[in-house]
Amino acid sequence: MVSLLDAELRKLLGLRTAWVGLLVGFLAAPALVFVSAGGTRRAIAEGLYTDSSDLGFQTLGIGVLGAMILGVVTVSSEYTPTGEDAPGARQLTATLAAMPRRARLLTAKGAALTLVVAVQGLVTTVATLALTRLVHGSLVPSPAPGRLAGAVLYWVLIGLLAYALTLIFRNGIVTLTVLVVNSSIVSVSYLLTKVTSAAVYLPDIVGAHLFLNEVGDHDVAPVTAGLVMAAWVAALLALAGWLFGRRDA
Amino acid sequence: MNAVRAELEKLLTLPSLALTLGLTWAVTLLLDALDPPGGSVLPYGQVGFLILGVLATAHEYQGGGQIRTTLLAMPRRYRLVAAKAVALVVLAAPAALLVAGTAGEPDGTLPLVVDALVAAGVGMLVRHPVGAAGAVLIAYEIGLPLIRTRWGEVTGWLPPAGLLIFGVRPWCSRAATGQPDLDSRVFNTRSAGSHPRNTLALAPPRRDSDGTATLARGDP
Repeated sequence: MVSLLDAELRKLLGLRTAWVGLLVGFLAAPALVFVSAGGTRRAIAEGLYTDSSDLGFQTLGIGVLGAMILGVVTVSSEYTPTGEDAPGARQLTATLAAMPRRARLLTAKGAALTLVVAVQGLVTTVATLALTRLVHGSLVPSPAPGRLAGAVLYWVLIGLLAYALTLIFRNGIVTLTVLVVNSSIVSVSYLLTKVTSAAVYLPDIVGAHLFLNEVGDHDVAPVTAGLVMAAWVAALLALAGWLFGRRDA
Repeated sequence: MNAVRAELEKLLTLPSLALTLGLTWAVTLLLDALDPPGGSVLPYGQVGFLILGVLATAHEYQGGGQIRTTLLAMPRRYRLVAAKAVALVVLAAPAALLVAGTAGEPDGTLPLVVDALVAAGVGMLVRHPVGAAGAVLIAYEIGLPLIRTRWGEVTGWLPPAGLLIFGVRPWCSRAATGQPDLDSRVFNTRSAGSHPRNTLALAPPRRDSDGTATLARGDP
């Protein structure tokens, strides 16, 4: 199992697109702290913030894009043709020849992804919160460790969500579109919460309650939020695993 | 003319393009039927046209290297690019009219076609469908609104879209179309709700130069 994990880690970190995800994840949120510093100060002065402890955590939203990209490319790279001259040959064929047990392969891949994304999430969260403190000083209360853990958990769960969805669709574009659009201002999930309150429990909406105090019009306790999101991810992973086991490679 | 016809035939026979357009229309229809509070559903259709544009050019670079065959048949590259652009407009314009009409905003047709063209330019530059789709979506849905809230003054100085469409970076040309476009519209209307979770990625609220409040999250 260790050698499987090692192999998957090397494959993931050998991908150019994965490095895009890594860099976006590491740099976007801390950079945004600096970029938006002036506007944030004005907003605090105007009293637009009701809860300033959310401040550093809100910036993290943009960094989660890195986790999404990593979750997508770790699977979509396997389905990309290996060469222009052999469109039928995909990395997955070689992978499965080396690791024929599909459940173990998926576990190793997921574990490698979790490891990378967790490190990324932890480093970025700590860096972003520290920078927020540095830039805004005493305007921001020092972050609670529980919320920090919640943010890292959200980061990992989003990565695994992207992983499961890409396994189901076997196509990076579909997953990336759904996830990027849903984390932007034209989020379909968010629109649905305006239509029905049940949409509050969609995975990407409910997950934000893990580390933010104010999300939308509804309130969900962090533990409930974590459990609901984890249940979504677990169900999607189970479906993805079942499909992966039964489909042609 | 033959080149345009050939390119158009390629676009019309690609299943992924038909699927993209079908889904775009279906999503617009569905969201419009739900009649969500907070205004236009056209920005959701815009996503579909971005993907359409990316796929229209980047599909040549998918496995199999279709681009080699294409270039063997049409070695003049500028003419090929022009033919691709014309073919995409011919395909996208009626589709855009349909989607914009479904959303109840026929005015939005032209911006949708321009979006598809910009995305096609990015697809050609990046030469990687997944990478191009990611780049375009992140630029349009996250980068652009961010730039608009932070540096609203800059956007007027960017070059005109029509001239540089295949050369410049997407957000420059998009912002330069000058109309009160989808991004800023959705930004103003949708931010009126209290603290959308989906603006996590956006910069904090600020006042625009013309004094209108552009809030990234909740009104006080």
